[in-house]
Amino acid sequence: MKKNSRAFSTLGSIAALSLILAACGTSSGGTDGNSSTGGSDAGGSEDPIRVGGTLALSGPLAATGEIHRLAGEQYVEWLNDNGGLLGREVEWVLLDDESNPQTSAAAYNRLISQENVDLLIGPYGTANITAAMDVAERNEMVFPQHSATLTYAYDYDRHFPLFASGIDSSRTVSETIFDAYAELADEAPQTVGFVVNQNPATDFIAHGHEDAPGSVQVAQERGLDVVLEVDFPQGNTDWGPIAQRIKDADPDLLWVGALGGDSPALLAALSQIGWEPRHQFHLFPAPGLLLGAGEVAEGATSTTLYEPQEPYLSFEGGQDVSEMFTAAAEEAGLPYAVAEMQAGLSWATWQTITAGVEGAGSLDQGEIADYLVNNSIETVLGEIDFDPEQNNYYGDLVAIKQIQDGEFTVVYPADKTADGTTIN
Amino acid sequence: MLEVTDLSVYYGEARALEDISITMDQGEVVAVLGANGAGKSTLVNTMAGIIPARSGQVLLDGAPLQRLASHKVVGEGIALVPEGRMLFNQLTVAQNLKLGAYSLDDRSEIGALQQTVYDLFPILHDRRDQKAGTLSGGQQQMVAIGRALMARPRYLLMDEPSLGLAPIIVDDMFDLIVRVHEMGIGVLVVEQNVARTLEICDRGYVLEQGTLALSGTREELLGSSAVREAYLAM
Amino acid sequence: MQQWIQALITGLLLGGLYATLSLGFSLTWGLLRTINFAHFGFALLASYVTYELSTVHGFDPLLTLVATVPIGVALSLGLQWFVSKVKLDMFGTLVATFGLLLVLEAAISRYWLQDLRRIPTENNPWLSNVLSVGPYTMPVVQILGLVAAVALCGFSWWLLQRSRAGYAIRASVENPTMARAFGIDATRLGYLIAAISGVSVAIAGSMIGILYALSPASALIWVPVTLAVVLLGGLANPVGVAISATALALAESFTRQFADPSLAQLVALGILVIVLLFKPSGLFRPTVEVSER
Repeated sequence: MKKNSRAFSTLGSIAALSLILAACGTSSGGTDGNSSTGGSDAGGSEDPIRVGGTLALSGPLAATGEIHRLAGEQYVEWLNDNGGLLGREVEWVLLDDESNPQTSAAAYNRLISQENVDLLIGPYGTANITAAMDVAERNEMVFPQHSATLTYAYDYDRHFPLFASGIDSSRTVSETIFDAYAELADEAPQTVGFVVNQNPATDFIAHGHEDAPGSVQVAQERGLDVVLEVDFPQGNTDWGPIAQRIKDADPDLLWVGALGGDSPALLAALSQIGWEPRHQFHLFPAPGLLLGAGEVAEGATSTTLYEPQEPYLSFEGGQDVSEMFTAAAEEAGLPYAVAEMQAGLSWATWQTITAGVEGAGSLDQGEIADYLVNNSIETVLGEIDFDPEQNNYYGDLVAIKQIQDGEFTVVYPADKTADGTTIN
Repeated sequence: MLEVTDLSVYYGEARALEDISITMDQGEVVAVLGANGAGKSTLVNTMAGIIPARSGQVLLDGAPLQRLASHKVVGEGIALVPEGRMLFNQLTVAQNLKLGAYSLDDRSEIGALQQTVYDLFPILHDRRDQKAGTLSGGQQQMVAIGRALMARPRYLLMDEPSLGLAPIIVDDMFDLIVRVHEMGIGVLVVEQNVARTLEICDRGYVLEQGTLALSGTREELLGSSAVREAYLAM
Repeated sequence: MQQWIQALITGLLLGGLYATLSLGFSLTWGLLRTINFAHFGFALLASYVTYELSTVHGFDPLLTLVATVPIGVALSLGLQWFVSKVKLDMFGTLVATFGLLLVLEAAISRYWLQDLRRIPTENNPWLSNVLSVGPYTMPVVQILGLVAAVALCGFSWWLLQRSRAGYAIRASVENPTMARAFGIDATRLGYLIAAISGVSVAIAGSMIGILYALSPASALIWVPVTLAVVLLGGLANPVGVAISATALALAESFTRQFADPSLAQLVALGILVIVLLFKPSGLFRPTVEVSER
């Protein structure tokens, strides 16, 4: 029996090891390629043009990474069905960065030096974008990216940001929010309570940075009374005490620097202690979850850059992204299959690189960058003019949407609303 | 009748016992003697079912025990008082005793059995709620014997019961073995204290380096010059 | 004053969840020599099953326990069978169960995707079901969680300290050979402990599914606090688990109410570090003191 127990412990170690290896395989440990070949209409027998990039397909950022994956795949399919790029098919070489910046940077290095991709597209998540952008800069490649909000950090002249809120986004987004509420005139909120996720993206918008003020400061500049300012950690497990503090401060406007599932959890805690927000703003919530929070979320506002409604549907590609993304998301089984800001940002990023290549007529990175800087680009977000004086940032295209009768609809600015809907 | 036939036990490749055969019945006190490392502990541990045999058999009234799962052996009627006591030190005296009776089918006897043990060892009754690990060596030995008795064994295997005990208590220990035997239990005593053991046993076996060197009645062993020279220093 | 009492209440209720989640982990570590990281995967799976049954099939979220508890028990028993058959040592169990956790995460994300999931309010009556005593409010589902914690810890304490099976388990952990020599079948007792662990992890998981948003990666959120509770509470010590869980939850709750919520977990872990500096074996004794083999 001694021999048997030795055999068993060897067996055990092998079993344990294979369990781990199997797990690494199934959770796509950063090395599995996921190429997306497009449709068949792209002419020519030439090799496809390869666009390289990573996304968070696993890890904490994967929920939104998934949206960008679907949007990108649909775009590439649409592009290949419509003649491809420079008459050639487009192939997306997508790697999983596991929500990790180091993995992202390493993957971009691989894409550039070993896979020899022709073009780049950015990942999701500010930290990953920052890491990847360094790699792009060292290789002098054009880097279109769709979601970094830490605008002040980026001065690479070939990076093209699609989160369209200007170089001092913490100010411009804040101004837009309070401008929207100012539309309520006499009913506009006088006091504000800030509850902010410590994540750098939300923290930046709320508190700003050295030279750029955030929403707290902007509120004070406008004569609003800041009655509460509380930070919470990313993995917060208990909202009771925070809800209590909000109830005690009783702000007219509850400004939540939210990510993902923060908002419905906070609203549930507030309803448990019997406090209803009179006005509520949520910065980057998962829209599906916020809608699922029911009655308590009625009237909640948030930021957007694209919604599946007019006027966006009439912008370049606005209809396509809505139809194709919705269909793909439903097929994939996403609980909230609506094409909104994230999908729109993704589509616009692809439109940018496409426009740059077509406009320059070549894959030369310098020529593409020149074209993008010197021309207006039509996207689902509207018309974009990258301004080299502002590190390729441009004006503020951020709009405010609100949950009215259980649906999101854009309420500000007026030219981005459908049928002149207003904030309430 | 408890029999061991041609028992061989190995630790890995090292031979601990080779072709050992002994017998005893319930009416006897049998001694197993020998120097350190002769294989005495191995023998009783194998008989109690906690070590597997390479070959050979352990038979209780003709039924083989060596293939049973080790937790089933005590139910057949063999209980072990191991070398070094091996009490459940973090449990109380009373809990150790109760666990001794774990294998009994009829749990209503446990109270009566505990009383028997306390009659045998009155001091344990006083200390019954004390953690076993806090008792003195002699008292721990009492608990070890008491625990084994709780299993209502027909055969009791005792491995070096006098080891580590103060000389005064050693005498009491051997008296105790006799008293236990008088309760109707066959006792197999493994000991290095040959002189005292020969006083109380009916028959004995002598092991040397894993093999059986001598066997005989008490008188035969006492009369053996080999035994006297090697173990009695005479 | 009112804030203090409300924070106290919130902390106690949160402590109930922490205790329920940590109990199984502590029992399997202390009594079955298994450091079971898959525990968090079992909880995550229970959360998702609760989510799925309430959101897609309209069951009352608490009723889903009828499904999640058997699943939790089955997984725990299965793991215990594997560990005892393959005779892994403690480090081996850590490695193997961590692998199992990754497999569970991968399986969950395959079926439910990486998207954040939350039971919509219309399917989740427990979010608004609140007991009010004067100015103080307590969500009913958390009260039930506290009751479950007390019941599970209480039962486990009774089992280990007052029942025959309990002595037998403790004896087998202290001296497996001698325990066997007296007829104690450690394998069957091991399954009993695994079953208790399975029941408690399923209850904790379902509660998490009712209260929080879920994503496949969120299993790991609970690891630090669970480790803290287990290390402070003494291995396999149900009373220790209950008290430590409550103490840590209260520390978090007071920090959230009166200081910076982002410091809450830090304060709790800080307490753990300070206590361990003075008493490396934790505040409470383990149920069985074993010298490391």
